[in-house]
Amino acid sequence: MKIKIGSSEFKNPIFAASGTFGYGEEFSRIIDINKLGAIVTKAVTLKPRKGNEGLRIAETPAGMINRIGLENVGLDAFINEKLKFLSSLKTGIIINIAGETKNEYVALAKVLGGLAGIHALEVNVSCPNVEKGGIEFSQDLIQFKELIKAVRKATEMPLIVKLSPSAGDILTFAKLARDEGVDAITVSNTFKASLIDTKSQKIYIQGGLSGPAIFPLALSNVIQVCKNIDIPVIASGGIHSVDTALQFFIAGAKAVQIGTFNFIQPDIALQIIKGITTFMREKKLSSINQIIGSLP
Amino acid sequence: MERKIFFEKARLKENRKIGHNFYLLKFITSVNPVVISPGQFVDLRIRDNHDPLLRRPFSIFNYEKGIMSVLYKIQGRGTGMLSSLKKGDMIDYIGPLGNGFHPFKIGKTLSVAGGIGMAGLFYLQKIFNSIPLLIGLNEKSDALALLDLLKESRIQQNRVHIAVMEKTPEFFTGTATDLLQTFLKRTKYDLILSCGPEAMMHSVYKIAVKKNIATQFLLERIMGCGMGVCQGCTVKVKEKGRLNNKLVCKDGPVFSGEEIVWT
Ligand SMILES: Cc1cc2nc3c(=O)[nH]c(=O)nc-3n(C[C@H](O)[C@H](O)[C@H](O)COP(=O)(O)OP(=O)(O)OC[C@H]3O[C@@H](n4cnc5c(N)ncnc54)[C@H](O)[C@@H]3O)c2cc1C
Ligand SMILES: Cc1cc2nc3c(=O)[nH]c(=O)nc-3n(C[C@H](O)[C@H](O)[C@H](O)COP(=O)(O)O)c2cc1C
Ligand code: FES
Repeated sequence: MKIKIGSSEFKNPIFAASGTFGYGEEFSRIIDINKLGAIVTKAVTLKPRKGNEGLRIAETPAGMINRIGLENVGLDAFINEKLKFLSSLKTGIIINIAGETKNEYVALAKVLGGLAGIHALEVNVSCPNVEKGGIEFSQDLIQFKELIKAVRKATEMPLIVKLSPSAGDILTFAKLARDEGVDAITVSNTFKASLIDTKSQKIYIQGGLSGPAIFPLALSNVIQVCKNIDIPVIASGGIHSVDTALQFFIAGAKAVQIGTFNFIQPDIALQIIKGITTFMREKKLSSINQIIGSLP
Repeated sequence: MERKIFFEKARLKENRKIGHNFYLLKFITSVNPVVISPGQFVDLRIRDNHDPLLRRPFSIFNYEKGIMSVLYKIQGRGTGMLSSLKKGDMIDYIGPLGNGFHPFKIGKTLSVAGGIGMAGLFYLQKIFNSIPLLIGLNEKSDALALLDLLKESRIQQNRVHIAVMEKTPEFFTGTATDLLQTFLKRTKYDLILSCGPEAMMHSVYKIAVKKNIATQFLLERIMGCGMGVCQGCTVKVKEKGRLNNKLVCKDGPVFSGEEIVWT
């Protein structure tokens, strides 16, 4: 089940998605996280962030809306307090980075790109929850291109760009990122979503929708991007079963990230690894690559 | 040492109505009671399908001979569906989660619960049965049903004091905080543990501050993951003169009254 992204090899293509797995410690008390192909960390920003005030999550049919606002410990504390545990694991480590300015992203890429025990950086240009944050980069093509160019120049580490599905034509952004020489594209982050409180007639929550509800939407984007782009695509959005993970692989994704469903079923990633192994055995396939992109 | 967190499918032993407003759910567990601290919770997946999607947190009400129980009230869809589960059905839980009550000297400690908030205080009561537990309920029928439940759960009744809003000769008439005031008039306490609606806990805090009594509150928040990864369940706290976020699921659910930023 091995796959490669840039120069990094991962033992399998089942990853935990950013923001849904912390820095691995909590899940390690429940499941054997060493079995995962990779863990994508919660977004790391240059300075610690306190995140958004008020209600941060709400449930929707088969989904949830979050507006966490990138709360995280910041680069220094990440390196001093979190990285040691992560590097002790036998799984791939991908650091999700976010910033408010191009320089912040570049600074993060320079520092993290030079550290041992990290296998890739995932640039989060797509968080819909921070007013000044990534979403601006993912809405303006020129800014986006400059950001990716600068981050690419800052590090030789495998670079993944995670796109927003709510910022315009996702394929256009994917092509721009490819042209700047990134190693892979994650399709995609959460979908911009809202709820209104009918009692007060005010917005109840506005944030990003995730969970099983978004699976068909994300799949449609993955199919479109994979058809038109030749660098690896990592699929994210609504995975909740072996079958949904397989659909992403068939569509052409080289790896998949499991997000919200980790909360619902903490061993979902392990179940999917097991299920895909069984699927391959039954179909007498020797490599996951025989499934990837098998959609005619 | 980090305690083990269980994640398993459990068979229901029982799920029945207690009085007019509460339900008791019992399930078979492989959790060893020595790992349970009073005030900890379990995160239940109510159904195998995707609606409701998220797990729901419930305080550990009791543990006896391999059976864990939670006491709950119907608040919405999730708890409504929970109430329709039957003996023999399977339910999937993660727990024990959170830290429970902070270590304290039993000395002069008092517990105060508002309504279903009492669920978070019984296991403590069972272990340290010398602590008076004051409970505020709306209806007399609930109070009577609760007394039966305590007997059945082997939780000592003689330290449990119930206040009922409905006027009735058997019980103190008023709220949990009214009852608290009468206790504080008679005896000097140095710690109050409390769980209930946020407004009630805030009143308890204000009363305690006036009398210089330390406090611990079991807080509730809507939870995404229940184990400290989603950052969805934050509470604002004062820490060394600064405002910080803490997670109700992982850093709590119990916080001291002084650190909570009351709104
Ligand atoms: C640590 C902890 C321990 C708890 N222990 C108990 C317990 O022992 N017994 C019990 O009956 N309840 C307990 N609760 C509250 C319980 O989790 C909620 O009542 C339940 O999740 C509501 O689900 P629902 O689908 O029925 O309601 P929903 O339809 O989701 O919501 C109905 C109403 O409940 C509120 N609500 C939803 N989720 C929560 C939540 N997690 N915390 C507080 N309010 C919420 C909503 O804002 C809404 O007003 C506890 C909560 C926490 C955080
Ligand atoms: C609570 C929460 C926090 C998240 N935080 C981040 C983040 O910090 N960076 C990021 O790139 N994506 C973040 N995401 C998005 C997920 O990584 C994932 O792409 C998205 O939720 C869709 O996948 P899912 O439906 O499997 O959850 C977050 C999602 C959730 C639910
Ligand atoms: S519920 Fe996810 S961090 Fe507390």
